[in-house]
Amino acid sequence: MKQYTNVHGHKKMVALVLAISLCLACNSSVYAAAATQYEKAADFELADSTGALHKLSDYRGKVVLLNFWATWCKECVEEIPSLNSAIEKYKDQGLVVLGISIDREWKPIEKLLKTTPMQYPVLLDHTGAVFVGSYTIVRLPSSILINRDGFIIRKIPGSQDFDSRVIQNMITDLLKEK
Amino acid sequence: MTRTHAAIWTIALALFLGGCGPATFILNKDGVAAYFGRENGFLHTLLCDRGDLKQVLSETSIPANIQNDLYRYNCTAERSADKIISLYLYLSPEEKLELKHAFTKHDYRINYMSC
Repeated sequence: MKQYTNVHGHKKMVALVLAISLCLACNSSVYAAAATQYEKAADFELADSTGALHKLSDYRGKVVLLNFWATWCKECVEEIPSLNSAIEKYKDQGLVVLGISIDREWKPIEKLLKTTPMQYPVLLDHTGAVFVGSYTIVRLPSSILINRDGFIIRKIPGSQDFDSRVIQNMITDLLKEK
Repeated sequence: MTRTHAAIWTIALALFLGGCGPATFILNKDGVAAYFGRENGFLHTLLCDRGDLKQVLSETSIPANIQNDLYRYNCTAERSADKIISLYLYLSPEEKLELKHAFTKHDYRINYMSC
C-alpha cells in the first residue's frame, strides 16, 4: 500500500515537473515572439550643454530611459525629481536617463538647472530631428524605455511618477535582463 | 446617480483625461472645421492648393525646417497627422500662438484649446 502511494506520488511529481516545463517553454516562446515584435530604437546623436555628443547606440548594454521634455512644459519639470530619484537608485545597475529637451536654446535650460538640478545628461534637440523625425512624439512629456539590446520596450506618454511601483517594476525587470 | 449625472461626469472625465492629449487646434473656414493636420478636402484645397498654409507659415518666426515639414506633412504625398501633431507639439508656446494668429489674419477661425 505504501509502495502504491509512493508510485502514485512519483507520477504526480513527474506530471507537475512536466506541467512546469511546458509552462516555461510556453512562456519563453511568448517572450521570444514578443522580442521579435519590439521596434529597434532609432539611433541619434545629440549634444549636451558642454558640447559633448551622446549617441544612443553608445549606451547599448544599458537600460535607457529617454525623457522628452521642455522647460515651458510644467508637467515635464514636475517629473524631474522622480527621474533624479530613479537614476540615483538604478544607475549602478545599468540605468541611463537621457533628458531630451525640445527647447530652441540652452539659456532656459541653464536657468532651470539652477533651481532644479538634473542628475542625468540633458541633450538639446533644437531641430526636432529626434522628437519629430525619429520618434514622432505626440505628447509632452513622453518617455521611452529601451532595453539593453536597443529595443523599445515601452512608450510612456504623459507625466509620470518614476518613483511609482509600476514604473520601478518596469525598470527593474529590464535591468535583470543580461 | 441619474443617467444625466453619469453622462456629465463621463464627459467631464473624458475632457480631463483627454484635454491635454495629442491634438493641434481646430481650424474653421466658411463653416467647415477640422483639426489642423487632419484630412479635410475643403481645407486642403485652401491650405495647400490655394497656398494659404505657405503664406500663413511665412508670417511666423517658426524655424524654416519646421515650416517646411508642416507644409510637407500637410500638403504632399507624405501627409501624416501624427507628424503634424508632433511638429505642433514641438513648437514653443510663442510659436503656437503666432501660428494661430497668422491663421486668424487670413480669416480662419481658431478654436483655442486649453492646452
